[in-house]
Amino acid sequence: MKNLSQSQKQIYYPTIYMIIFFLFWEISCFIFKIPVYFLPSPIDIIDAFSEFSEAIIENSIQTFYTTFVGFGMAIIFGLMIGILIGWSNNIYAGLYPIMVGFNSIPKVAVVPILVLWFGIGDVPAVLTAFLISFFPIVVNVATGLATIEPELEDVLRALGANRYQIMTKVGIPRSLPYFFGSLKIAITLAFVGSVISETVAANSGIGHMMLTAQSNFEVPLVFAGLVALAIEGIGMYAIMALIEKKFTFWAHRSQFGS
Amino acid sequence: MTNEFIEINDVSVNYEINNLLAVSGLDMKIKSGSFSAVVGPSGCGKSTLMKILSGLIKPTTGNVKINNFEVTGPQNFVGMAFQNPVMMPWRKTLENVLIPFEILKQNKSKKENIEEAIKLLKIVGLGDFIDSYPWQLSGGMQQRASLCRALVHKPKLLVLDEPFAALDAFTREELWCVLRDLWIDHKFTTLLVTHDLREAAFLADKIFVMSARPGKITNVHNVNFKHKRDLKITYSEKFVKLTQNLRKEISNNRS
Repeated sequence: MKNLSQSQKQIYYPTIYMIIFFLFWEISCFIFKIPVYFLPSPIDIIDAFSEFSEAIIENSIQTFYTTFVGFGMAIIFGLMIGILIGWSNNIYAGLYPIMVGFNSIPKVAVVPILVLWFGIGDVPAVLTAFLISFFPIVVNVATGLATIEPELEDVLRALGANRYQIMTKVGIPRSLPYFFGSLKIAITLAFVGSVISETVAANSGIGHMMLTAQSNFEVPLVFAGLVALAIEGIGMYAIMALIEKKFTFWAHRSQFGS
Repeated sequence: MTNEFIEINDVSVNYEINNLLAVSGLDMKIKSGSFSAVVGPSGCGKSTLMKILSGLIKPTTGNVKINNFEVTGPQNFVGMAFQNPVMMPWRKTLENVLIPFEILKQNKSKKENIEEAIKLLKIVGLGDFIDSYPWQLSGGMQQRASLCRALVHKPKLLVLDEPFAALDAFTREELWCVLRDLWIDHKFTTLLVTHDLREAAFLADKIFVMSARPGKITNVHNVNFKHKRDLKITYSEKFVKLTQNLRKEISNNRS
C-alpha cells in the first residue's frame, strides 16, 4: 500500500474504515438479535432504499433544494454583512452584538414564527437554513478583514490607494481562506436548518419523510433518510473543500508543499 | 525657492493613541538625487520619519515639503520597502511587482508595465522566478522582489525602512550592491532608515544621526567615498573610523 498517491489514499482509507464500520454494525445486529424496529441493520436500510427509492430521491432533492437556496442566501448576505463589519469599526461595534444575540437564539424556536408568517412549505425551510448558516460566514469574513497585516495595507496606502482599492486588492483576497473555511461549516449547518424546519413544518423533504416513516414504524426508512442526509452532506462538504483548495492554495502551503 | 528636494521643518509627531511623542523638532534637508541614511537608537522615531515622508501620517506640528510642495497625503512619486518584504501570497512575484501600476493611473500599456517589471526583476537576479509565488522564494529573494515593487513605477523618492535587517550578512552585502547599482543607474533620491552603521556608511552620501525618543537630528555626517563603492572600502581605516564615530554618537544619544 506504499505506492498509493495522496489522492488515492484519501479514497482508499475512508472506504476501508466505512466497510469495517458497517460490517461491525451488521454483525452486532445479527449476534445480539436487535429488532429491526429498534436498530435496523445496514442490509435492512439498503432494502428500504430500494423499496422507497422514489420517495427518498424526491425528498432528497427537495431537501437539497431548500438547503442550497438558504445556503446561497447565507453566502450573499454573509459576505455583504461581513465586508460591511470589516469595513468600519463603528459598524462592527454597532452590529456585532446584535448578530451575536440573533445567533444565540436556537433556530428551532424561530420555525413556528416563520410558519406563522409564510405558512407550511419551502419558505420556512429555506429561511431556517439561511439563518443558521449565515453567522459563521459573517464572523469569518469579518475576522479575515480585521486581521490584515497593517504592513500590507501600508504598501498600498503609500501609493495613494483608496479604501475601495485596499479592500479589493488586499482585504478580500486575504480573507478568502476564512470565507471558504466558513463555507464548509455553513453548508453542514444549512442541512441542519432545513431538516429541522421540515420535521416541524413541511409536507416534503427528508425531515418530513423521516417523521412520517417514524409514525408508521418504518424504522429502516427513518435510517435510510439519515443515510441520504449524510450522503448529501458529505457531497456538499467535499465540493466546498474542493473550491477552497482551488482558490486558496496559497494559504495551505504546509500540505501543498509536501 | 531652494534646490532642496526634501525639506522637513521643525516637525513633531504625537501619537494620540498612547500619547507618545515620537519625534520633536525634526529638521532635515535632502538634495535631489542624493542617498541619505538615518541611524539612531531603537525606538527613536525612524519609522515615524519614514511615514511622514511617504504621507502615511501627518506631522502634528511643522511641515514636510517635497519639491517645494507640502506633503498632505500619499505621493505617487514615492516608492517604499519595509523590513518585511510584505508580498501578497496569492499573487505571483511578477504580479506583486506590478501592484504600483494598478494603483497609480498611468498612460502606459499593460505590456509596457510588464516589460518594465521583468526588466527590473532580471536586474536583481529574479529573472527565473517571475512566475513563482513569493512563499516559494527565500527571504533575500523576497526582499529583492520588494525592492523591485518599490522601484517599478520609477519613483523620484525611494524610502527604505530597514530593508535588509532580517537577512544574513552575506545576502545583505549582496543586496547593498544591488541597491548601489540601481541607485547609480537611476539616481532616485533615497532615504534609508537603518540600524546597520556599515550599511549606512557604505551606501549613503549623508548620514543623519537621531537622538533617543522624542527623535531629532543630533548630527550629520557627509560620506565622501567615491561612487561606485566597492565592498572592500568597508575594511578601510577611514570607513571603520566613521562607523566607530557613529556608534559612539548613538550610544551617547541613548543615555
